[in-house]
Amino acid sequence: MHWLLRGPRLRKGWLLLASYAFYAAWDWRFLSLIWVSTVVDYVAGQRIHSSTGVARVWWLRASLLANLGLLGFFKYWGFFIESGTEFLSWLGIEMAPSSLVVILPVGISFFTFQTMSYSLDIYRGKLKPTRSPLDLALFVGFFPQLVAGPIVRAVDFLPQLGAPRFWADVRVRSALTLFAAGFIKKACISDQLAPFVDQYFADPTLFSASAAWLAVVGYAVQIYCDFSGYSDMAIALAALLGYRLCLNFNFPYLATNIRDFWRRWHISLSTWLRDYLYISLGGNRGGSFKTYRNLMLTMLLGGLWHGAAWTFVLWGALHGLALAIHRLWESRRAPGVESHFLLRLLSPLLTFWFVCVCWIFFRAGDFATASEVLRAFVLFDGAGTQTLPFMMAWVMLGLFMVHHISARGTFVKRFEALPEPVFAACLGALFAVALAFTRADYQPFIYFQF
Amino acid sequence: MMRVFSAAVFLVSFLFAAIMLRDWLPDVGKLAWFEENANQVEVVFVGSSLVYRQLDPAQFDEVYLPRTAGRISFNYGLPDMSFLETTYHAERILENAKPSLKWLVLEASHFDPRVNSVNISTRRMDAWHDWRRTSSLTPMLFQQMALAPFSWAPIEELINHWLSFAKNRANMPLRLSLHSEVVDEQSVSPQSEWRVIHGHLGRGFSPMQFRTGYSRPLIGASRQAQSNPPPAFRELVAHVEQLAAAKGVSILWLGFPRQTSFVADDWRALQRAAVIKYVLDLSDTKRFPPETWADRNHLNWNGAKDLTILAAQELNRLNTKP
Repeated sequence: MHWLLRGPRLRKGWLLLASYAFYAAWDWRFLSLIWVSTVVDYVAGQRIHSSTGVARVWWLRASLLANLGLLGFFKYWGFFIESGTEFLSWLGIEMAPSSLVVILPVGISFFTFQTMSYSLDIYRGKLKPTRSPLDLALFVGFFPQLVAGPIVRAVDFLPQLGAPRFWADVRVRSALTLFAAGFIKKACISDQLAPFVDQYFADPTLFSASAAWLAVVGYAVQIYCDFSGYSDMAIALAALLGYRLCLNFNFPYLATNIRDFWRRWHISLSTWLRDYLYISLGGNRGGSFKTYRNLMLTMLLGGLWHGAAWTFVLWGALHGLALAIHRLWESRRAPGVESHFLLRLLSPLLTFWFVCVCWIFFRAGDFATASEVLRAFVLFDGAGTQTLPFMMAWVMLGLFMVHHISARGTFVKRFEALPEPVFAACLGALFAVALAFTRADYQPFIYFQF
Repeated sequence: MMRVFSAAVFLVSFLFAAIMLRDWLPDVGKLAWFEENANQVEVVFVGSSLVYRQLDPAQFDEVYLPRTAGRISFNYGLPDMSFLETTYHAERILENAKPSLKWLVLEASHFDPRVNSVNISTRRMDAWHDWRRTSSLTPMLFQQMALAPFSWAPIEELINHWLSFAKNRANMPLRLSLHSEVVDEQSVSPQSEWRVIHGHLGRGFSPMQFRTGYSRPLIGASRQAQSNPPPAFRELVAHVEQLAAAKGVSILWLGFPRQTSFVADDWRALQRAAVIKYVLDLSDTKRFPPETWADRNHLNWNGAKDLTILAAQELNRLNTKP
């Protein structure tokens, strides 16, 4: 339908309608949030560009306040009220908990970050505000990535909306391959691992240490396949519509250190945090203390971005601490030590193990559960005797091998280079295999909750 | 032109791979167990939870009289088994029937073939496994679409069926669930209730009261569905009967208690028309007092024992009939 329409305005209008319909299918009432964010940033963008001095700053503040206000209220209201009540209770001041229950709108963390990047880039002079409300609305609401990223920057996306798109430019095979890969990751791997992981985390005290390892590593695989699977499908869908979205994952479990991990994991978020938060805080320009402080603050807020719970804050803190330690080590290590055979062998394993430890806090609903899992995972001290099917270990080992081989990219290139009918035949068979191994019931994407 | 050709190749390849896969993928759990032990099974019960929660093979074997030494009954019931699937499995059992097989007890309800958000995780997609069922189901799906042209539900159902085309009869998520395993007591399934139920699994039987945390209402309307097999399904009934007769196996069509979908008159009409031979109507709720029910559709284990005994006595009666 998109490509049958003539003229860029019609196509963009159609895409915008489709995007709003997509979001409204979840809950039409929350479309108003997207509209508010769009209107505020359209006006603020124009004003930031046309104003000077203090007015410019105030318009930027208005934009940030509106976006962060939406995010803060809808995502963190319950968290702050609950934490505040608990804190006051700890001080001996009893307060009735708030009866206001706020529904978390799907994708709010993603589209508010996108709109903030628009205002900030205009303020920094990297971008001119768009004159077209249609373009800005489509940038905010573009359906492939609206609810779970990648977080698209205005500076990357708006120029694409301004230029004509041609079907001849679409790399169909590449997009279909990427979509198939994403679908398999989500439906055949993540969804199949989910029941085992859920069962373990529901009550870790029933399980042995080996089950803890299977469940925690299983969760690492699950969340990667779930989130990167969504990103792959979103990028592929956007590509089929003629738009390019940024890479969001680059084989993160092959990272050789924690810094490398964050260059490969949820790239659109980590670069957003780096460019708009870490650098805004001063980055590494104010000496060691400020650098480490900024690093920690960035990761703490990054943790909080993922979810309104202290377990996410701790998850962010652990990553921040690890990044700080790595930075310290980098500055003090002897030259050439990174090329040592043992270090090259152990560093990816150690990095993955640490990431898994952090995932425990990400997945566990509370600190009691997290500490139980942590004891079993780190100290091999499981409280129970039940096990999970050991077959999971073989499956995951196989997946890691595929992960490693895929990182070279040669297989995908060869697949895409097949003659078109052969490619179509392989893709058809691949979808049949994938569908045979999917769960019939719907499993929501993990990152929808963020 | 090349794009159109490639699209056709994609579709053919998909269909071919899906059909191949469905045959290659192995049976799991109780179905696999039955395949391995079919030569000692004399009576098989096939149907939905009405079957696997209410017909206890161990109890049955105590009452069923002509049982040869070493022969057993087996509960082939699977969650939410539709009538299409019941007849599909019946045909499959009959095609591979061992000399020991004498009776098939088939559930005479669950005619609604819809796959929606409520039952998509419990239904398998055997409707698509052969042309007979596909040709019965396809017109019904399009009929639904025609009846509600501006509704999303029929389209969603069509997609559900299409997405399920490539699945094998075990429906992969159920591979992980309580209903799949019979013999492997050491492994733990994702469902926390599985181990509890598993301890009482007697050849596929899972009595209702061992579901932990189970709180479905005891009262209320029982399942509302079509009252009798639709015309397309009557042909399936006739085909299964013919296949059974050819194999020397008898079929008892069973109407379960509280099933409004069972209308004895319709089945008696089929009996009079010699389409079917035997039917047992247990839909009369007066036979089963309130204390024998686990929820509004299923008997508890005591009720299941009573029901099983009635079924066994009926087969005893039919076996001794000249």
